[in-house]
Amino acid sequence: MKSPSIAVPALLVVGVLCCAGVAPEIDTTGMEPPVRELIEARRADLNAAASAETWGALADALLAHGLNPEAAGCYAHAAELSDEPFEWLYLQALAAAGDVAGMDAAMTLLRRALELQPDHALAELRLALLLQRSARHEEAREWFELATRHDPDLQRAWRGLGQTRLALARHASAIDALERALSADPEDAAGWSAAAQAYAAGGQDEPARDAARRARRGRERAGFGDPIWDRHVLQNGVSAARLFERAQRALAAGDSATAREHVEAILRSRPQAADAHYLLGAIEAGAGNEREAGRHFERTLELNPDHVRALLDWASLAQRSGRLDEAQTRIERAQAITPLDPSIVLALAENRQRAGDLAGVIQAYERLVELRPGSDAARRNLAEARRLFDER
Amino acid sequence: MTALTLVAGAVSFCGCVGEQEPPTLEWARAAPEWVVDFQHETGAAGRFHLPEIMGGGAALFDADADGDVDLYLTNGNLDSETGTPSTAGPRNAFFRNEAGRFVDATEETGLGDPGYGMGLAVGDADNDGDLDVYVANYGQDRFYTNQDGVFTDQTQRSGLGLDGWSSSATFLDFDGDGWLDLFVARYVAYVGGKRCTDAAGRDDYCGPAVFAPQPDRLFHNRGDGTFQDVSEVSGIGRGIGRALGVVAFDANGDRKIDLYVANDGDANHLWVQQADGRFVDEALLRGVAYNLAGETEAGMGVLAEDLDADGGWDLFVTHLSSETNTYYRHAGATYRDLSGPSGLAGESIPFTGFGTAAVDLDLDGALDLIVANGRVSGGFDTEAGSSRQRFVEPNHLFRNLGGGRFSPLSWHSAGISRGVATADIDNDGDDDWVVANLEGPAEVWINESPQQGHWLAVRAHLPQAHREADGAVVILEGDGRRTVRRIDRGGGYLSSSDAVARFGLGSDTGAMRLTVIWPDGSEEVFDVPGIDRVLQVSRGAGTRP
Repeated sequence: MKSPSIAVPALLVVGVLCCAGVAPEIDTTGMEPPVRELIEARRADLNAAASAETWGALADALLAHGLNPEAAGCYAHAAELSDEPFEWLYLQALAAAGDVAGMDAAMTLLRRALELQPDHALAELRLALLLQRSARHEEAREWFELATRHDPDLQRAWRGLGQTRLALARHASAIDALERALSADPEDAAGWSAAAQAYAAGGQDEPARDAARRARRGRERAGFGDPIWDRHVLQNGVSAARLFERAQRALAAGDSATAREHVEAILRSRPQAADAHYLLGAIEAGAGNEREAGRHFERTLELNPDHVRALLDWASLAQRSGRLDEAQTRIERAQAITPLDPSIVLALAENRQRAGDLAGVIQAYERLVELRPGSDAARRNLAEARRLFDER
Repeated sequence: MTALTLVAGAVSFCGCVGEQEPPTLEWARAAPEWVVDFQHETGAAGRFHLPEIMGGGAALFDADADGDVDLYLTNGNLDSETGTPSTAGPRNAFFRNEAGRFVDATEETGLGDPGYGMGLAVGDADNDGDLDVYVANYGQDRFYTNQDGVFTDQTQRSGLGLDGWSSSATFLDFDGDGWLDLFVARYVAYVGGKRCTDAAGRDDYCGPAVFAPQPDRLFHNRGDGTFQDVSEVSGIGRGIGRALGVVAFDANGDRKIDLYVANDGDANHLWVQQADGRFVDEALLRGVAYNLAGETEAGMGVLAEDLDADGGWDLFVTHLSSETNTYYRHAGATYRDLSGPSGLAGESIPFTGFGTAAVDLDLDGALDLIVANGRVSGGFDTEAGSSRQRFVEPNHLFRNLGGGRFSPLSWHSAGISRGVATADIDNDGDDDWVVANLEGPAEVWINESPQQGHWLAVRAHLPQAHREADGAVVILEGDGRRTVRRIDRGGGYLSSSDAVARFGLGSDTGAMRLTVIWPDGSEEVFDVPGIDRVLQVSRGAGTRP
């Protein structure tokens, strides 16, 4: 019988050996030129002067572009050479955990890091998440509890604590932790989902149904704020995919200048990237440059006629300048592509409302009620539209 | 004690017969008589079209009513430039079981569907006593009716010619009117030409999230050879998800058929049928929309069986690598994700699971699990065997240890595995199975595992409908043991299995009582005249409890 777990220590050992002495050879075939150039530059720096910093810098570039095993080996060297190896061990763990065979090694590394900085909430959270992923719920619960104690604002730790308590059938205390998580992030779909199950398991049917509704309306969170990751990994991402991620993060943080810089870099190497044109349009729209925004949305739609967000944002611009028929055409096009998206039906209702077309508003809200039968707001709006229609 | 026997196809993935080690399993021996001359192809040519990595399905069913199961396999057929389905290429293939070997009978049966084949659903949709076939395609779906083993394309007349991208499908009589209706799982609105890359900018397959999800479809069988699309009025059409797997079963014990749909990267659906016949998605409330961490997973194959022998239907869903395969254990009105304690989680994390089936391989009374694995990302060029080899992963067989716990055995197959179908291919009393591999041969596995004892297989018949009772539940009681099994051809990934309730009895030879819950919810009790046999029971021939 083959056991995949055999590969766990091997990953770490191979990683270390590949980087011993000189910079490892990296197969850069097919990579985007900026990625290739960054890796080669970091290799050259390392070959010129091996140190914790040069090993770490190469590892950062590798991890930023998904070369996890190679990055893990280089972080190991950085940790060996460093007087303060906490962050290198932490990053080595993240690199190892990115490979499904490396989870045990990652947990060992995080424990070593925590010996150096015992109260580091992020490291505790990372370890708890790996334990949770390995279905070691009791251990995960302990580490989640430590993380919440050392950083009570760590929303992801509260959610994890609730989830593991749920897994351990401790429903009341699961609800406590989940409510704490949801007060910090009321749109956390996973938190509401766990809460729905915890309420249902505790026989609280109405809160369970309400939580289920909110889970459906919530958002799935891909990650959480991690300044170590951002500083070492995110900031080193130079592929189009990574630059796009950085641009989105910058835009979300209100830094449109940085976002623009990243998007323009993408377009220099990939001028046909529809998503980049769209993001540039969103940046311009946010800055109030509606003409420029419209131009970028048009370009997006030339490259990808099915780009739903561009269709809707273009329609929104048209609405604002009173071109309601044009907006209608674009929204209907978006609806044809994703007929079950309630946000598009809402856009349709709003456009009909601006046009004074109450019959169209009623039609849109009828569709919304079909799609969201549990939405009280949709029912109220439908009733109000019908009342106004009757009054006419 | 004997062995599990693998029969790989005549052509291995590198095109070099006999040049590689034969696939193995711990209990294995070779049996060349079941070789299938079939090679799955996609038309992949380095353009990274999503359909190329989804693979195809297999169906095991008795097409010619001669008492043994035949084999039907889907094949791909892509225009590599545009990513659209092509009709100029390999076709689906049908193999008739003739005295212990599979013989290609594609042409004479009319089942050489030229579309880009994905899933298969089998059922007697016209109640004429033989089994019809629905082919779910990337492109237009096809519906073939069976007349004495010869199939006729009735797509146009039936109203079942869905276009777009269908994945799994299953026949079910959801309204209890005696006619089999049809559920079709729909994947994404695929558009060729979108470029996706990995983190370093290397070309790779786009994930499903890049493409818009499609609503699933439910068709009501009017009983006159035509079907009516009832997706909207039934509520099914309200679901948003990129569906790959579906299983029809009674989730809440009200004797009405419900549907569980595994979605790829979206919340799963549990469509619970209400008193008025409409369906409401209760997945989130019952704990089967997400995994325990509240995360969506890449749902592929799915099954609903009583895996812990407590009388309730548990759910099992296969997933992408870095996710666990998920075991939702039935717990009253809800389910609990007990993947970790079951032993099914850790082993599955490194692998991408697709096809799955629950069969009592060693006839000890507990259902074991088959999981077919194979990667989906990293890109391959069909001309370069070495890069293609990176997609091959070991498959898994999980032995049921009882109490909802499992122990893994992995086996090495020749391929990038996708669909799995089960049936007693060699008529020796235990279940065998077929694995449909992507860009490779299909594998026929003959079960000769270390068996623990006796068995009983039950086929249930509906005389008025002239067909087998798909959707029936069979309960076998005796010697303090109560075992429940479903009669269902659907479930898994893109595949269809034989409709038989098979019971492993171990050393149990005492008196037994058999209860059948028919698809309309009525119940009858039957005598068990003997064991180690296939028992045929007909509705109306038993006694009311």
